[in-house]
Amino acid sequence: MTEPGSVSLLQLSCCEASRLASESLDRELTRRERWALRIHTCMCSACRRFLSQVSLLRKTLTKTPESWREHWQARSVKLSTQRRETIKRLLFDASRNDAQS
Amino acid sequence: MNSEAVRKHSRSFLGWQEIFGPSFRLIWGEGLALTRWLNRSMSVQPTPKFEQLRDPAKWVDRYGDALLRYAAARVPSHELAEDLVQDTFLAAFRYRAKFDGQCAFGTWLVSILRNKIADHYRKSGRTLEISEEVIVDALKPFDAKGKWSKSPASWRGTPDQLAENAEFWGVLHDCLGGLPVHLAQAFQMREIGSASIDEVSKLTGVTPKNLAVRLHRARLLLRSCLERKWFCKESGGAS
Repeated sequence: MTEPGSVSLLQLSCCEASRLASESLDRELTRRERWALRIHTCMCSACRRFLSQVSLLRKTLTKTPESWREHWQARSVKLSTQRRETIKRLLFDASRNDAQS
Repeated sequence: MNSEAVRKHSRSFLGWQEIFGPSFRLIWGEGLALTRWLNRSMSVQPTPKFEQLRDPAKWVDRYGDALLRYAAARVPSHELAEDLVQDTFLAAFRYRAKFDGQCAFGTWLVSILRNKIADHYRKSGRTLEISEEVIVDALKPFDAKGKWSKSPASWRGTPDQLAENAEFWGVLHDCLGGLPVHLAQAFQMREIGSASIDEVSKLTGVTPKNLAVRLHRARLLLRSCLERKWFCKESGGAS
């Protein structure tokens, strides 16, 4: 009776259950997915713990100190100073070689 | 050749854009602090004409970070992303005569970078998707039957207790740094920047479905790292 792409109500693996647990933080699960996850976590303490761990992380991260927030945001998108200088030097060398030939 | 005059002129023009560019973006993203942050970290500066970028060193300052963000979202390590950006700039210099001004200079650079990324995966003989799998599989959170290979432990502490502990943030920082860049980026935007799935998806150019896969992997890896370095360690090495 399962439509393609939908989850099995009773035979959910821990791998699938953890995926649903993760997705439950990002979107509203379908009713079927919600029940599948609920039934699985009733029986599986490992997945119950995973679910509480990821929601603990979510709650903790809403309290991220401002200093760390800035640090992470700046770090994740920048070319390192060292690499920047390396590239500039290589480009400079290349243009000098060009001028000579 | 009066290149000095050209350079002087270009410098004053760049200055104008640099003064007004950010404030335009701020107005555009007014309201939510989040939107403002996302704009600041993801947007590309307005594109000047190629003639104004005669000096290749300026390319690096203007386009370096944007190219790095593009690459970092598509290859597993920061180091590799920087290598690819470097190759891109050198190739752009070598073939600069081929740039015909049909598209923006930044777009042209991205197209070179895209080829470099494709070359990288062709050389290493795997697709982007497979390489993502390989990274997570190396840690094998689940066995062949889909059961946990190491069951998650129970964690102690409330969000408030954790947030007040400066050491915890240091450990979290280490763990985030150990994630593949594309996973860390997705996780940071979603959990620390509190961006919605749609926003993250638009900014990174990843489909919502693929993003769910990334977030799932990021959470699995981060969870096991925190458990190893914090939650099980804290209880006096009881494990």
